Amino acid sequence: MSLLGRGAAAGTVAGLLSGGFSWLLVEPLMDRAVRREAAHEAAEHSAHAGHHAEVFSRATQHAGLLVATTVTGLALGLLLAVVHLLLHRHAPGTGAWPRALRLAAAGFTGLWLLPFVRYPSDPPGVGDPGTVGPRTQAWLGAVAIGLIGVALAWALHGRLARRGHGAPARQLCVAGVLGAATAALFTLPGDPDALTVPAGPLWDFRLWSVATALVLWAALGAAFGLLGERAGRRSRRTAPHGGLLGATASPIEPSTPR
Amino acid sequence: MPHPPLSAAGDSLAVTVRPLRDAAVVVTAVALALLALYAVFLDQGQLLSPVLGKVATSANYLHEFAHDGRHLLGAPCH
Repeated sequence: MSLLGRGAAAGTVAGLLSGGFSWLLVEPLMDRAVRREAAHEAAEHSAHAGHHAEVFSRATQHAGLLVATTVTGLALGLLLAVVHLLLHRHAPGTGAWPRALRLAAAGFTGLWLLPFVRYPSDPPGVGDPGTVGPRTQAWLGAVAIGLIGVALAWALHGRLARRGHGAPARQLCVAGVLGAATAALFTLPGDPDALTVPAGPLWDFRLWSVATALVLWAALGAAFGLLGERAGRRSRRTAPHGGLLGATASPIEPSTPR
Repeated sequence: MPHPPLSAAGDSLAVTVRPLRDAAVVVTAVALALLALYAVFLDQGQLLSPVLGKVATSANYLHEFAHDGRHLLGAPCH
């Protein structure tokens, strides 16, 4: 399987896993939240009934959750494979497992965890449709800051390693950069919407949101690592003929039979 | 970690194998991935409005279909 194929396959598996996980465990919470939202709206707009017709039934939206996580996993898997390609083009075939886990951990931190620290996910019922534009822009800003912070930390770690600095110096620098990125996140505007949901259900939902993202990224890293290990073993058995995206990732190993 | 001497030759072999085709494949994959993420997390009717017209914005099909995933994975929602 090519590198991109491995990313796509790992991402699809990860998306299906996290989608199934949240379908089973989180949808009951979401259904309650949607009912609470509907009751809230009905109370506010009792004068004109039928004000907000739902486009899809809850059953369709449950299926939509699985589709959304799978498409997201597939897309993230492809992007992970491309980043892997760019970072490791000089030695494409070595250490597939630790590389995949490090990349997934970096992706989770930059794309998900840091933005979450600034703008925690909210259950259905929180969020004013009128402010979704600015809120989306602020969230994209948080994603950009998270990605830049992780990329800087990664580059600094690599540079310190090449200069022979030890693990404490490298890891403290990574922590410092991520701390600075977190501080930068709080220069973004706060969420303008009032939290209409009680703290209990709100934080239940947020914890499940963290769990879903963890399942997605952990499964992505593990599946990508396992597929990479398998491809590495195969390329050591057969003659290396692969291109950048070819089936055999590693042209490093001599092709003579041992 | 020092590379074995073969790596330089091997790498140049790997990189020069159809570099244009490889670059095209990578760019296409990145574009498709970003389009998919846009559809799931950001679309408010823009992707479907060329096909469906105004109803795409008012009904917001992609947003409503991916609604639960958006909430759960942290994107802003209505």
